[in-house]
Amino acid sequence: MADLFHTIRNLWRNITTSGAGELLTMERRRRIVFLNSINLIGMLILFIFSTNRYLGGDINTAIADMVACSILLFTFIYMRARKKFVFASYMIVSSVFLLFSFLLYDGGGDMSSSLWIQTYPLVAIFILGLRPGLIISTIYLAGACCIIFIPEAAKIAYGFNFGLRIVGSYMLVFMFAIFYESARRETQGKLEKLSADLLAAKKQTDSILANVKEGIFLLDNGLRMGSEYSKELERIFGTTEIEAVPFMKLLEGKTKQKVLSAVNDYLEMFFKPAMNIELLEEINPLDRIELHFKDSGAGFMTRHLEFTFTPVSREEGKVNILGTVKDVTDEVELANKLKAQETRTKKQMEQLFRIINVGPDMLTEFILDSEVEVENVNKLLKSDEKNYASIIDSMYQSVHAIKGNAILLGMTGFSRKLHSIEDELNAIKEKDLSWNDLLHQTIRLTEIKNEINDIKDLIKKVLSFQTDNRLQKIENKDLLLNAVQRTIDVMSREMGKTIKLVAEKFDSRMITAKQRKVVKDILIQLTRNALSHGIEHPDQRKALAKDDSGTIVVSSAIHDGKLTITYRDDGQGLNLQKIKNKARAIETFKNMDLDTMPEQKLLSLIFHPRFSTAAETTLSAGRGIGLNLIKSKIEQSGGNLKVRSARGKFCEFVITLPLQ
Amino acid sequence: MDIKYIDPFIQATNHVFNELFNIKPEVGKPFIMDKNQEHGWDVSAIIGIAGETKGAVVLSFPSELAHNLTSRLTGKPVPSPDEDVVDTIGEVVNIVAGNAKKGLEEYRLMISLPSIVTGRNHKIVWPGKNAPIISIPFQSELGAFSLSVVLENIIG
Repeated sequence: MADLFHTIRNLWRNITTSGAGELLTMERRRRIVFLNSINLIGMLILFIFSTNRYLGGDINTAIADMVACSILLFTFIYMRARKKFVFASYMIVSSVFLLFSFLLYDGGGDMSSSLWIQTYPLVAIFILGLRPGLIISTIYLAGACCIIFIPEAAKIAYGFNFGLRIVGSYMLVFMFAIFYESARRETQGKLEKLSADLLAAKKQTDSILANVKEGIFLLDNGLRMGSEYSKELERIFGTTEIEAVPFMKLLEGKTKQKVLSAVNDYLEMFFKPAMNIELLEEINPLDRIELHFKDSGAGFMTRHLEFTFTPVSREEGKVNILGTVKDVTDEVELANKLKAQETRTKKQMEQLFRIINVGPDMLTEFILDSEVEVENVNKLLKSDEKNYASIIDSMYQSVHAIKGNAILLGMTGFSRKLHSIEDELNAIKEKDLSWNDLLHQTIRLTEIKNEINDIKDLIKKVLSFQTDNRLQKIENKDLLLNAVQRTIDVMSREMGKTIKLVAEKFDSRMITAKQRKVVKDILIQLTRNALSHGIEHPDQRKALAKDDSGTIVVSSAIHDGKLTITYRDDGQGLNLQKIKNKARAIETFKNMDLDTMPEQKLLSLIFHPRFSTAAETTLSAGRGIGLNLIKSKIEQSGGNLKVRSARGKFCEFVITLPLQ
Repeated sequence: MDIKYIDPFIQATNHVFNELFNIKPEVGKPFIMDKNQEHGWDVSAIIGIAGETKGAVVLSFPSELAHNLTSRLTGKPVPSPDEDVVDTIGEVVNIVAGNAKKGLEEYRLMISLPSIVTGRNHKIVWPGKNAPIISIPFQSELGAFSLSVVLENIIG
């Protein structure tokens, strides 16, 4: 039943809007509908009357009606096909003009024509509009007066009084039609102007909302988002589904639950009567917040947002909340980047200075050596080694080695960091090692790796400015002695001593690539010791009738398939008494008979771990692991280390290594 | 990287394996992982971290262990088809992440839902350019697995 009704309604609509194109104004469409309706009704009436007249024997009227009916039909079809509304409307009005004129002349049945013509002003004005309708209606009135009042003009006699009444009521209808149409037009005009103004205003608002660089939105008293909001909001939240969504749902999963409940409570406060607006602004938990949005992978995209909220009174005492949100991610990240950059730049400047002073190839060697040390520790971590203490020991030795080289190259920042790691390692050596301790140190190891990577990057940058790739050309010879010389340079300045290095009988070519690192480590450690405790101050030396500057002689030789390296300084030699005293303080040796021990045995005590006769731990020396470490490294390589000394005269180390 | 961020994940892993599977995994020595080397795992679950530190925590399993875990959970002795295994691992790691969240409450950190990657020696795209990755091996009666972490500090 409802479907049938709908079908009929749609059919009616279709018929009555025949000829109405899409782009016509409301005014026009109304006229067209009116016209079509008149058409249909008119056709129906005329058809009925025509038939009636015909059956009643009144052929003339029947024909006239039929003609009018067909004209209406023609106009209807024409308008539907051609959409020429104006032509159609004039056609209709004119044909009705003629029909009514004929009726007036003819009299209609029982003078019914006088009734019909009353409708003419309405037809003319409503179809054609005020002015044309007015003109045609007046013309018709003039014609009608002629037909009615001129004697013998019409077929029937209307009589003066009746005629006056006809004209009178016509004019009444005419007047009312004019008033009504004018009033309607004025209202229509006002309505259209209002609509146009509203539309223009909305266009402006839409333009603002689409382009403003802030998210603007309204929350109703259920904290749901309104339908009008700025486009920026969609960009910030990464979704177009905002309307009617609860505000809290938009924030869900992007920050901690604690924060979300605080925000919810805060917003609820807006709906309480008599709230203090300034106070509310001050306690806004969202005035600067970090929200984490899930990105396409498993990661997060972080946005820094600033929200403000203001209560807005609506009618019926309802309160809505006006919210704004500004995306300050760029500013915040920039500030963070700048801070990070500052620290990094400071570090890089120091490193760059080093590179320029020291040379990229020396630094490259430092990198390679340090990476080997780190990798050695990592290998132990990956291995099955269950003894945590030995791993810590090994790490200590590696860190110490890297530190030594770092100091050599003047990398104060890095060496300080390594020294603090050494302190940590030392501290935990004393107690039971937990797995957490190991994890801690592994993290430290990654920090060391990071530092090394930074220097590597810096070297790459510097090298890229040079035409030849000096990475390839690391020459054994220069670097070994260079390392020793550098140690001497740096430390002699520190200690206020002068040293001369004599290395004519030293041939680096005798040393294989594999042994290179071990030999280098040894020579450097021996140099450090020589400079720290071996060689005396220039004044002391003068007093002892020695040269002001101490001499270090390094030489190498090959005997019986073995490589021998000799390292000799002309300093104060080893103090046997001091060795004895130190030994007495150490657990292991307390029980030994130190006074009767042969000199050679006593001297070899210096290779024991913890056996340092230096007074305290400094960045450069102390901790007593140096010689012990060297001895074990040499022995690991299948070699031997011996020491000879004469008090006040010299100290000589002889290193023997197998030829590879 | 700081041990305070890593510890909750280790605790959570131990706890979850205890509760769900009645297994007490033994934790091995941590080491630095080479991201270019073949890791030999078949299933990895990646948990993203953001906030005062940024990076990822990855739990990796061999397929045999993954199957065993699935069997234990579902009660079916037969090794299940792959989707079940992936779902199970996803669930397990989800619970681990949820547990870890509690331990990280006091830090300004957000944890993402885990993403699962499968395939022998699948490639994991590690965040943080060349940041070193710490790998913590676990040994259990059902097999070995690992927990890897890479975290960077934001300021400085």
